[in-house]
Amino acid sequence: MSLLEVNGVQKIYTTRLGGNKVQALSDVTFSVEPGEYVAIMGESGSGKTTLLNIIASLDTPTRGEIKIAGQSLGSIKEKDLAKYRRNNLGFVFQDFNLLDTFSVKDNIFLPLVLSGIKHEEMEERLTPIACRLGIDKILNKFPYEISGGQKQRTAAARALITNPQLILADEPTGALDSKAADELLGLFTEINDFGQTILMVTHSVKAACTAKRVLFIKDGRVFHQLYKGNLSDDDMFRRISDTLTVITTGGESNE
Amino acid sequence: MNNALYPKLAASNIAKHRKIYLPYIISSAVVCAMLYIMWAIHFDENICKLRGASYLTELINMGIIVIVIFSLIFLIYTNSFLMKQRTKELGLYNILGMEKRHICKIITFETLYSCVFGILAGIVSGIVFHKLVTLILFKIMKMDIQLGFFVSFKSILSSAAVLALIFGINLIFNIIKVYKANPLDLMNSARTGEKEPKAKIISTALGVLFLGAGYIIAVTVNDPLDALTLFFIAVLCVIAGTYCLFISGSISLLKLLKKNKSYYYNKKHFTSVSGLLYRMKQNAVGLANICILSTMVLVMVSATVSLYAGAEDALKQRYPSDISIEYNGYENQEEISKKITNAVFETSEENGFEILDFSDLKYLSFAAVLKNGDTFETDNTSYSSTFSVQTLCIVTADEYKSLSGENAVLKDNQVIVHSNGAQLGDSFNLFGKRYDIVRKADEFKDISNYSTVLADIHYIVVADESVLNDIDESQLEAYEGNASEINHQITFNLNGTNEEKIQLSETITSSVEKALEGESAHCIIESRSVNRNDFYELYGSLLFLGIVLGSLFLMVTVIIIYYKQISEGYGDRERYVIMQKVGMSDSEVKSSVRSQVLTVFFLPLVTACVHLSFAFPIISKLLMLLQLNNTKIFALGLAATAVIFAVIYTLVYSVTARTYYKIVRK
Repeated sequence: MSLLEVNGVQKIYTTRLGGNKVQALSDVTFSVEPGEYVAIMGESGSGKTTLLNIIASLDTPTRGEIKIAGQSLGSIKEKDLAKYRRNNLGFVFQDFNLLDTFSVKDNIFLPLVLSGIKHEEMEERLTPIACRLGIDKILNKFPYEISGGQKQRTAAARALITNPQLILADEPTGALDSKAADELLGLFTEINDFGQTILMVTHSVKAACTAKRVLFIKDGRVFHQLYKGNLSDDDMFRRISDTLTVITTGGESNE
Repeated sequence: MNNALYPKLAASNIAKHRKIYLPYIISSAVVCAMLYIMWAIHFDENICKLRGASYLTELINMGIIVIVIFSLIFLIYTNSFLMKQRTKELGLYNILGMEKRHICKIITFETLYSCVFGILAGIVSGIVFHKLVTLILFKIMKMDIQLGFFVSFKSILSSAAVLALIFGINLIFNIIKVYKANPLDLMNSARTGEKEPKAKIISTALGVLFLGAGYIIAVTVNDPLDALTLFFIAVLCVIAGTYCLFISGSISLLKLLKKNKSYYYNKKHFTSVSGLLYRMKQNAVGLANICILSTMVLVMVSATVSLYAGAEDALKQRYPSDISIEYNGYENQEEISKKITNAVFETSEENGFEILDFSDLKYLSFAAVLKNGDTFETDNTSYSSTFSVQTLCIVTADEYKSLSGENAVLKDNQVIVHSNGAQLGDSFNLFGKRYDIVRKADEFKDISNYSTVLADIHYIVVADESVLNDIDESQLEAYEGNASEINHQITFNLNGTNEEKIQLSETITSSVEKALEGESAHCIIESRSVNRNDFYELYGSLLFLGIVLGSLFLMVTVIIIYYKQISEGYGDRERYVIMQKVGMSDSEVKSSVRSQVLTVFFLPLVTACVHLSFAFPIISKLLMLLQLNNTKIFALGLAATAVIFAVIYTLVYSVTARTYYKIVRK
């Protein structure tokens, strides 16, 4: 059974004063198997962030259905949504979204505290994750004292500590320099190798290369997909670039 | 460059930032209106000529000084807040190619606009409310005077000048700020990370110490005169303690809570403890200011209200009878007594008034120092401290009978005693003679106005005239030139209205004086009705000043709170979004934010109330000096003021909380 099923999702935004309707997603269907590492690519405005928000249950689709581990998100009550999100999904954002008022450690603990987990258990869970992500030395520092890469690793630790079924990453390398970005992508590969399912939205071809599968979205629907298979990073890079060129030029340049 | 651009930009800036500019302009208008009204009363020649106006003009002068100083501090504070909110925008202008002098031009126009608006609105409302305020003032002073409507140009000039000066200072501050900053600083100043505050044990301990000392002084003080000297020390202690505790005590406490892992890592406390930690760091001084301001408002208003409400009581206590005539030093006292009595009765009969509760009392009173609880020393040298001095007031058994209606049969060495304050044992020594106290009277009608004397008083009833005369001779010997004389006091009440009583007391005074023509010695005639006007003039002006300054301070408190909420709203917006993304539900975020806002908002008010409850004993002693002996009135006045204050405060809270949520949820 698929871990994530997206069935015919449509999203139409109505502007606040009621006049114009904007279609962000027209008909998106795909599924993600457990242990997969999927990247979603597309131009600005293609609807990829909207899609991620809908999968994250931060937004509701106009039509269609999302199922995670067989459970439809639409069937979860509004007041239970936050709890569901906390327990089943982990988030990594472009701008880290760390709270300045918390130390690195407390930022990582935040979802656990909200779930009412005992302090001893939190510490137990934290140690291996912090070591793996290389942030065990900075646990007592504050977000404004650490580098961008460290911030993003903190955010990743916060996503991982709840043992989520699915990690959703929104442009995770967007605010990082190339070295920090490489490190983070290496980490993603590593945790994916441990069996963690990851769904990442990205602009960066380099980031997408690390994924096992890349979905391309154009005009609100899945336009194409690429499997990495046994391809090297370089070959994958070239194929992604080609696909992007096709999308940008409307499919006329190559064939 | 087009010169019309700057005024236009300035105007649109103010309109765009009305959320923060409007309170600034309104509060400067209110300050201006207050100044106009105060000065208009000050410059009003009709008021200067009034009887009792000396209190009023003096208090009004004091009020003007307080308002000027306070509005200076307050408007500068508000302006610095405004500029902080706008640094990013000004940085953007700079980056877009405006030179600093252009930015200064815009700021100058903005200041000019707010200044002109503020002064105009202030003076117009000042003129409108001036008449109303004077009417209220005369009403509370119980004066019945008709005044016309007029505009005081002198007052317009003075208040406009003060406001212009304040705005000028603000302008200079702003220009300096623009010139000192570079554009990137201006852009980024809002985004610098805040360090987590450190717990400061020493200043926390100091805070506890100061506050404790202030409280202990306030609670333990017994003597009203001590209260006067200690009050300012206590106030200073409490102010210092409040600042220390708000600034470092709150942080130490939160740090302590944070150290307790099982408390801190709890859904209910996690976000609020860490949130409060930062909030307290940024806001501690502001909150301490609010706390002290609130305490000041409450003390001032409740004290003046209670004094005013207790005026009638105080008057009755100070002047138990409508008219009292005291005299001493005459050789032929019996004859004099008759002369005065006749003059009084004749005069009132001629004018058609009735004399009620007439009494003619003879008593001896002098001071002595109580040693070992049972010996009165009359040695001049034992006046080491005024506080141990006691007043003895001695009457004969006959006089006691006419005073209380009780028959007292006493032997030479037996007395009946009533003591205000320090109590005596079974007996005491006076001039080498031992007196046994056969009875302690529960109450004693006030003689003269000793109840208002602050030293302890012992009313002593002795067997007869010969005992009284013995004591008199002994004290004449002991005190020599400073000795007291046997006093006579005639007291009586009159029927009729207040106005009639005033007139009659004047007639009686002149006829008594006429009757005593040629006699050497002195005689004091006091009329309650005449003094009633004095009382109301003093307490009325005090109440007026209390209300004016109270509302000024209240406004300042409110504006500070408003600005705090707004600046916090912008800071909290990001946190709110992040917490939701990480998996906090909407209601959880809301309740966490609300608990923090509530704490920040009501902490100063609660602290102010605690301060007040500790201050209650010392302030009620101070009010005794002002002849308010009725603690109940003060308690009521304090409670009423506190309730009204809390209601206004809560109202402001709900209004600002709405603005706050609007910002946060945008």
